[in-house]
Amino acid sequence: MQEHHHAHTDPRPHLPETPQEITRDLLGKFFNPRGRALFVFAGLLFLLGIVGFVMRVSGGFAHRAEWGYYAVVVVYLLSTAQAAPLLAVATRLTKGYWRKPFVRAAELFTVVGVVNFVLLLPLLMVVPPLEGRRTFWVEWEGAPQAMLFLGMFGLVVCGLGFLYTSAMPDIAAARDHAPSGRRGLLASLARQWVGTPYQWRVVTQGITYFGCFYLMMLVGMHFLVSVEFAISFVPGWRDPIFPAFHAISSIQAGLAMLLVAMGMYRYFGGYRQYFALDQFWNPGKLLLAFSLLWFYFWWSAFIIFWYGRTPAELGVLETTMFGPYKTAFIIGFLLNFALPVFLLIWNPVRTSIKGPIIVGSIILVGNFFDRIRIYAASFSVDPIGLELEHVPAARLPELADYLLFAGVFGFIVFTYMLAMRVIPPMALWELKEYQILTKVRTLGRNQVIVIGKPE
Amino acid sequence: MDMAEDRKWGMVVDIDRCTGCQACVIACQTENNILLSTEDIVQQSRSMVWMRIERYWEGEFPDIKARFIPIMCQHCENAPCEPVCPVYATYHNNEGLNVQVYNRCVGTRYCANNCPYSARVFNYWERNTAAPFMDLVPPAQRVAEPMNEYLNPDVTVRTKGIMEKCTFCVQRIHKVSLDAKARGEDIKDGDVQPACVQACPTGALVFGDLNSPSSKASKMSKDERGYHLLEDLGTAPSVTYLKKVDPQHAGTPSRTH
Amino acid sequence: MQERRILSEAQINQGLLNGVLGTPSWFWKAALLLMTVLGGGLTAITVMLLFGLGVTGLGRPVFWGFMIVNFVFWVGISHAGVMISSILRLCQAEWRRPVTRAAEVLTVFSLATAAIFPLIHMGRMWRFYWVFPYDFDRMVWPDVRSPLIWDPSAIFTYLTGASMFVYMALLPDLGILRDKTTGWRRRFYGALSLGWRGNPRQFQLQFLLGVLLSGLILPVFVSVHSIVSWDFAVSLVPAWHATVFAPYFVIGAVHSGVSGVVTMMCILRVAFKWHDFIRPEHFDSLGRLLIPVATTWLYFFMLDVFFGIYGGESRELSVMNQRVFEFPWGLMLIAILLMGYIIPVSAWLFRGVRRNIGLMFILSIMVNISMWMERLWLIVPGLQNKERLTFDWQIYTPGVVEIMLVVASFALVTFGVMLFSKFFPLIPVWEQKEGQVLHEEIQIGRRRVPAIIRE
Repeated sequence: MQEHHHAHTDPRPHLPETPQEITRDLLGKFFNPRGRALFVFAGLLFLLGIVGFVMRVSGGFAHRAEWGYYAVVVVYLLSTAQAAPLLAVATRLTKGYWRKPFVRAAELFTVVGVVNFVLLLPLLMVVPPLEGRRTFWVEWEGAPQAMLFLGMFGLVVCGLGFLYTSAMPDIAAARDHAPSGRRGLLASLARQWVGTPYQWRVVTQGITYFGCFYLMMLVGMHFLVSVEFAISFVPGWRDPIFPAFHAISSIQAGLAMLLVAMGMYRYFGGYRQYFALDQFWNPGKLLLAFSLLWFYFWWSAFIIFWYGRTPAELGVLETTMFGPYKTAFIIGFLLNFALPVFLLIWNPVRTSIKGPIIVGSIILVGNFFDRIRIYAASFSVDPIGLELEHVPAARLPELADYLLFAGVFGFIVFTYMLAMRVIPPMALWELKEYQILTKVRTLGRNQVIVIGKPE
Repeated sequence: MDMAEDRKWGMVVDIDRCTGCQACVIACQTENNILLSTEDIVQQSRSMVWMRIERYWEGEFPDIKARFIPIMCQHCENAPCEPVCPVYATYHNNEGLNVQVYNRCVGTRYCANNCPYSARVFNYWERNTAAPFMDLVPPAQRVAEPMNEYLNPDVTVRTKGIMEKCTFCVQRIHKVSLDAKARGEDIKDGDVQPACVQACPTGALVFGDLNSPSSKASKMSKDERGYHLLEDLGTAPSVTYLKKVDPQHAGTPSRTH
Repeated sequence: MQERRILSEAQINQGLLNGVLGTPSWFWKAALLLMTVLGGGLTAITVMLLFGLGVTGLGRPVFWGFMIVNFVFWVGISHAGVMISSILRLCQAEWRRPVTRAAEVLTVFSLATAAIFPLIHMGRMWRFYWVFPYDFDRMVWPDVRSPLIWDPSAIFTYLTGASMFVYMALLPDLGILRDKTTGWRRRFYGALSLGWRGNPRQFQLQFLLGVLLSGLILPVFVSVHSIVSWDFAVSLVPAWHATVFAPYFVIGAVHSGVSGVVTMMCILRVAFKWHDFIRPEHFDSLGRLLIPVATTWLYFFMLDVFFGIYGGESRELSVMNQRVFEFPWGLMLIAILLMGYIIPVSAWLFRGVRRNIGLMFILSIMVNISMWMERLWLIVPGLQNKERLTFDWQIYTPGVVEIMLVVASFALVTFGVMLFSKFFPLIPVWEQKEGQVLHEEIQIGRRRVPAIIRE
């Protein structure tokens, strides 16, 4: 078999060679005029979100029901932005070669965790005392707050470590090729990276460990949030699968967020040649699987409660699904399961680029409504007792809540783009690794890529 | 003329009056052709009783008290045993009874697992004495001559492999019902008496139509001492228990047991 | 590191078909031993039929015991085939090649064995056909609300799907066998091979069928063990009534099943002298797969246990008390955790262990002993201490009949796989040849690295 390197028929992405190309691909592309406009718009929404935050905090911590929608915002950020890096983690362990263009795009989402951590803090003041309600922490007052604080803090630190370790070689590349104005900050971040074998080993092992810990801490954080803010607020709600449902719906939403981000990179960021069909097709298949899993985990809880027919269980079904928040539940169900599944099983949608992106945006909306039906409901009921006596009517969001909803877009996009100014959004070192490990060959009449598997 | 659909048979058990004499247990056993449970069968944890007296000890010597709770099938409105039977061998009839259809039962025993009151009993052993190698079967569980003479002809003798439980003596309910219909009259309160109710010497068991406001059972079930067993499960049993009144605790908020 | 020897087609044929075209030395001795054990199983069933279920250790309120535990265990083992075959086929993982058929065959026989247990467990097993809706004249239907009706539907669907899977993957090999045999064998294979010629069109159709079946059987795979778990979860028995049972059982099944496949691979490698085909790299990959599977199993196990004690419900706590502090359940818990997770996963983290056939054999058996005990730990204690009516609490001890049946079930599955191996090769010959064709090596720097072709 001959070894040809057809520059124009090579199916692999063409990597930059000159210093200007490198810097532009690493740092500059997204900030074209459209990108700048998006940045400013996101910044405005970020400010609106801060206004909403201040309004809500100044309203006091006395009435827990008022904080329902605030909790929705915090949990939504945890479920979407903080779950987006998971695809980078999982595919690193399975060694899928199609992940290389988007790993950095996924890892950059960890910076949104910083904002979410700050947003979580006031919520800790709203947690009611342990007396009279069912929890884990039998007599350890203050435990929920401590665990949530430590969990989120650990998650954010782990995420930032993950991002930093993975981006190190690219920050160094940017330092080496950047124009003189930007070099200082990059140099201090790159910390004398020269690419010795030892340094490479630290980076690759660091990514693996940070990645695994991030995954485990995220699952743990979902467990804490779903138990402390939802299950323990509703009397009689004993539901072991709910933390797992929460984590699975979050992985689905994280995938959706990443797909939407990849769409932005391809169509608005100028990274078209990096984000080809493979980068959308494989996550699209995963999105189908996770949308089906969303239904599976939801159904597992529902069938046990519905079949059991005990008053406590019927109360939970009334509160979170078929009672005052029925509309939010139905919208969430349709947008998280019905629509994504029936769109993605259709080949023209799934094997396209735009299809998974559109389905991803649908899921992002659906996840929001799903969190509303859980958290707005759980914050509105009385947590004392063994059984739910009375389900109060649905609360609608107030002005502060609407400002926070607008702020969600800003919290995610503005923080992300701010991080992109410093941390290169394209993992060029991973792509170079891909180039080295692959060859293009002719097999019969076709060009095929041969991928080396040194393990 | 009252219709069957309007009736809801129920029982009231006054624990204050129960002495734990087990007359109800014997009566039930005789009336319903329940096989004898000797010590070895009880050791196998297979005692065949539809109505049992649970005995709990409370307190320390010399203040020990025995509490007796007669428990039988509660004929729950929201019975957990009904939806799990794969062949519809148990269902709720229109008179409020949870009925067991012996000839439909295939013996999966799911209903017994799901009954929180452990009211259901399974026929573990072969009855037919003509089968070979019958020494494996405990003698009491074989119906050998002349013991078959004591069997009640109104009640089926169950074979191995099927479930059984208290039926509120449905054969007596039917008999009284049909007799009343033949005479063109209504069933009067107290006409229908299951074997346990009939045998109880202290009148601790009362049976009647819970839907009829004038029946004794209906009035007693609304007593302030009344409660249901395992109420938080939401099974809505048709049996109401009346709390025991301890003389030294009379006048204070009473304890359930 | 891949240590494959490049073999000629004739060598592959000879190596893999030695069990079919000839008889291994151990065959008749093993067959005799297994048939003796099976005879014991048949005797046990006959005794149960003649005298009633009194010969077992079941009583009141423990109406389900060892036989149902065994049923759940074998349904669990049957999940490995689909996991490995369809998921690895869809992900195009190369290391699946020697493992797929053996795993699929294990699935078929373990599922068939599992289906026997609910049947013999019935009080009147000769009336089993009443669970099927056949009585149109009298309109006497089964009750579809009962999980015991969902069970046969799920299991038979899975059995049909798995059998079709085995057959589809067998077709090319049936062609080879037809061409290599004479007489009645030739006619037998000829009839089964459906005119297989091995031309491109037939291979394309067969590939498409494989992809379709893989995709279709995945939902079945998830739903079968979920439905079996709902036999327990929809009831009101404490410790059974938990929403997490569905994914918990499924992931436990994958854990137990993949370990079962490892055991089987070790035996096959030695029994048929397949050292060239079942190599340490396959055990390496299986071990790496088992680490996340086992960790996910542990996550669900912890969820189940934590929510058992959550809220302090007395009916749940009394069962948990029994399971942790009473003999033998407390010891069993320690054994389950040690043998099912702590020892195996700690060992599997090391490449040296994963590539050691002997150690993998021992670890996989350890995992399955632990999983059998875990099913027992889940099922029986909830029945023993069913409610707060302590007068009714009883202890369950299994009878000789039940132990005999459990042992006989292992013999039945082994015998089935052994019988299959006499007629069809347990490693797909065509897949091995395909792997050889797709295998490549490329030069990277100074190293020659094994590689794989991707279009």
